[in-house]
Amino acid sequence: MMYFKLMKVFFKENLSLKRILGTDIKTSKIKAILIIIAIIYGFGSILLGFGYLFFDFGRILSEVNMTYILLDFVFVYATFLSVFFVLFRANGYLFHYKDFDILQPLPIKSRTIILAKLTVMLAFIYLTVFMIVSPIAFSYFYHGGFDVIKLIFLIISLFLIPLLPLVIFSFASLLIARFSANFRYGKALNIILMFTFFLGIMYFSMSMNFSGDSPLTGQMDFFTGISKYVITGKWFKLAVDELNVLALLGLIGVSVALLVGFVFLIEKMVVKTNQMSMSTRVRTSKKTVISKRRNIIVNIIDKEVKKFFNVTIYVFNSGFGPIMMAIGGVAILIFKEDLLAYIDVFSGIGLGFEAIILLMLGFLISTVFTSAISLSLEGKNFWILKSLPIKAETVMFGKMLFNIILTLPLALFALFMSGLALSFEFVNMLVMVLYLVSLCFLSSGLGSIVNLHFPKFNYVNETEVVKQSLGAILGMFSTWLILTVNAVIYYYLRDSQSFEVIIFLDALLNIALFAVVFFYIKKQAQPIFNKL
Amino acid sequence: MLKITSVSKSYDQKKLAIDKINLEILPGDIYGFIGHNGAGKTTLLKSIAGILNFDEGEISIFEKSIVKDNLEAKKIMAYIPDNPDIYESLSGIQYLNFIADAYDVDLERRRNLINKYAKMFEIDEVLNNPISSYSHGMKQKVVIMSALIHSPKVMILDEPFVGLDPKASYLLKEVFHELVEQGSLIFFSTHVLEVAEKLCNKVAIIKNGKIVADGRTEDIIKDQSLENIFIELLKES
Repeated sequence: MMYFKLMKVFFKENLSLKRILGTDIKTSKIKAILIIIAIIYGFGSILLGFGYLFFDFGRILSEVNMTYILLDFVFVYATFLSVFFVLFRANGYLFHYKDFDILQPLPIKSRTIILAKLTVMLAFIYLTVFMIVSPIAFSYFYHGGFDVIKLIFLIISLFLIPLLPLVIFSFASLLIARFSANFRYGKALNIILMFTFFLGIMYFSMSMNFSGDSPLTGQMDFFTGISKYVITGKWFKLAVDELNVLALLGLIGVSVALLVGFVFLIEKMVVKTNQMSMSTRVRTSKKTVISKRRNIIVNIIDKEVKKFFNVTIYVFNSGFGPIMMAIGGVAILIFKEDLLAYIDVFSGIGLGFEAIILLMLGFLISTVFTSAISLSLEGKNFWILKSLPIKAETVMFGKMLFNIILTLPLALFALFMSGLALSFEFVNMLVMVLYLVSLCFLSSGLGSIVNLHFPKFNYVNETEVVKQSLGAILGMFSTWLILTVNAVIYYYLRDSQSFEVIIFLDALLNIALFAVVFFYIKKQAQPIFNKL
Repeated sequence: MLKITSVSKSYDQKKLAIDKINLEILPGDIYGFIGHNGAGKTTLLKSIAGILNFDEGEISIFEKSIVKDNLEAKKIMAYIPDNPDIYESLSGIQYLNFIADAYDVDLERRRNLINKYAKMFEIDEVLNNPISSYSHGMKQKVVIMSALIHSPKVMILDEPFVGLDPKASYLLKEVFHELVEQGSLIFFSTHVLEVAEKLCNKVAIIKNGKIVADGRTEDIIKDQSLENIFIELLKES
């Protein structure tokens, strides 16, 4: 059957080991093993942290016989994960897929292609949903008692929950894409809207009551509210917790009907939207063409800036840290008292305000890892840099500088505002500036090394590089590693040395490490480039 | 002179994609490179351009080794790939300025050349637009312009006529003649044997990674057509 043949091709194209790992396991086994270990470590640490949080939360709920609340969390997490995935990917999977010109001339029904595309997209959603909700489900069964039928009902339901968001947010994804394609500043507006949306969610969840033994108790009312008013959420809880077969049948009926209706509804639309994307509209302009001469590093940085703002997921992922620094810098002046109370929670573990601010800024800096992925993002354009008479080190330093420009000014802004709000001493401020500068340079440099050794040029969608590549994972981890080393030094010296001395020592260590990184890139970038 | 001496490359350490290739391309040559799909044309062209490493042999561009003197060799060379994949987030003029800066072309010169070629290829009115809005042919024209912007002594082109309209193809051939008159050399692959026959003073035919014929076009084709020769050579085991 053609559907299965198509699926086989799509899965091979999207889920092959080579695509996921970014390297051929047959030719570079050691590299592949390292990548697999890093991925397992990355997901393992996230799942363990998440698992512990929900295990503890389940314990609290079981004391008051309310473990069913965990099912609200399962429903909301599964729904939001699906919304997030569909918003970002549905347009590329359904309405503007890259292999349209290959598939369209073939004697295959559009409906079959859509079904196969939907199946692949759903497979990714299910993979994420099952992985993220499994610790919550574990906590539910551990504290509420295990039941095979309940588990079967839960698994069936988890296959159904993403279908409603899939139907609704596929259209949202198409609308966003159409909007950004048709207006000159549509892309910028799209980025602003997405940031507003997610910052809104953050503000909303932070404004909820944050009290009790577990941080999750603050989200409880909101989550139970959602599944109370969304009928599928209500049915899901009834089906799993009370083994209500009618509720399960309702959930199955509604979800399957929605999916079937959706496929019929979009069948013609998919062909139309894909056909529209095949044609290019060229606008002519009489505006004078300006020739400029600039330093090649400036050119590379400029190119990076344009690439950054041209890829929504790139801005969204790597721009979140700088935006949070900017918002934080302003917020600390306005909500000084609230933030002091919040920071005070941490002071219980023996950290001063200065150290906490540095830790927070350090974490935000770790989220900006453009230097760890920007070489990969060259993708099919990499031939340009390789064929030009530009040294590999120049390319890497340009990419590194872009990362620093993106991070450092806003990190310093946030630091200065914090210093103003919390009246930091002048000497402390000086060493903190030195520390942030050293951290930004070292973090960017390590990112460059990561990308030199773990590039991923073979990708269909930039999301694969920005969010799922080994470069992205290691880029963030490398900054966490520096922060951990700096924190350990702080922890062991805090009783014998003053804050400014310790931070100065941390900064010196970072500068020394950066010197090593700098010379490594200078020496090794070209030979590595030649092999890529 | 572009000198390729005993160059071999394997992708899997089992089968050679190009096998001990020897070629000499002199200033003034328009050298056509012909071969079946998968014969090794792109591998050799990319090796010359410094994009791919090769396992054995030596490639020198006007006495500068592409391995040992990589940057100096690249400075006098331009490469055009078979697919015009370029930075779509830049505008045409931004891309051209970027390439010109990489080759350190002075402002006056680049202004003149951009004006000349933009008008010639009729893309002067779209150079301020993002490359993402260009058609395939327009992207190809920008790539060609970026290669011409520093008046290279060596031009390496992989299927340069694909995607070009007849007028642009004609103009590109004119540019080839103009360049070789100034002492440059051109080495390009093509599947269009008529183009090779009429345009090139020399040709090389590659089969399964090995050069099976090379030299002056008239000496190779004699009283036959290049197409006949090519088919005959492919048939031979």
